[in-house]
Amino acid sequence: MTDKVMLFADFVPGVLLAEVDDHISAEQLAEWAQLYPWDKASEGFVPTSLATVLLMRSYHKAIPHRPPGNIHAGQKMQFLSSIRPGETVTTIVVCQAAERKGERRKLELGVVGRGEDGRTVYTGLITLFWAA
Amino acid sequence: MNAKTLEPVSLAVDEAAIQRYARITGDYNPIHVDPAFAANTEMGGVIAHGTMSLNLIWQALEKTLGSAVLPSVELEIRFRRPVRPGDVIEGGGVLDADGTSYSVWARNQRGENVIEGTARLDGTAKPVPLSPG
Repeated sequence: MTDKVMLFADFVPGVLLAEVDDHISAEQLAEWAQLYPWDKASEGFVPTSLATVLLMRSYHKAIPHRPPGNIHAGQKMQFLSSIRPGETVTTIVVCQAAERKGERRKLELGVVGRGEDGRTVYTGLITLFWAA
Repeated sequence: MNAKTLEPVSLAVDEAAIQRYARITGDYNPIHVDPAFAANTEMGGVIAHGTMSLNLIWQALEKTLGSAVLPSVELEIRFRRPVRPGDVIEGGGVLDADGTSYSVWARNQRGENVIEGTARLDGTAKPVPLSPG
């Protein structure tokens, strides 16, 4: 992680950007239930689609200073294992690709989240057009 | 035999829902939560977080296929259009001809896809390449 704004030129494919610890709190679970009341979890776990939140927060925490105007273009994800409320999920965020496409600066960030016992809970690829 | 269509899941998006999603995600980008700021951007007003609609696709997949199947599902999507307060977004999908994937979408009340993608039912997690240093 860095204190300065990450520019496109700062990204090097294959390099680890950050390892981020995070969890889903009881308050966030309650907010989720208000927003998506039909999204029920299995006993003792958080709703599956809530993993999207951890995945995106890992990106935001890994790169806290981003140039304004970035575009989140797409995403690839696989949710491999259920997550317990309050469980610490450790996510590595890696610059997987950085390429210019005409005027656009395309970034692909790979993420892998692991639970407290080391099992992989999700993998993902976030595609962004970086503004500067 | 997989269902031919996903059971749809829909969400009415308003500013309160967007604020709630900002609290859950910690994403307070002013394009989502500050109407005065957003009005002066090329979006011309507040837009919802993209993943707020993406979640509806996951929920439609889980509702139709069941939780036990989800770990083998690899979802790949593109964000196509912004979602604004007042929109009603429905997540859904249809089984492709080969029976191994769904074409999925999140669609607004005008029938426009705000998200499009594919949910492959035989997804295998691939390692993220990582070089030393």
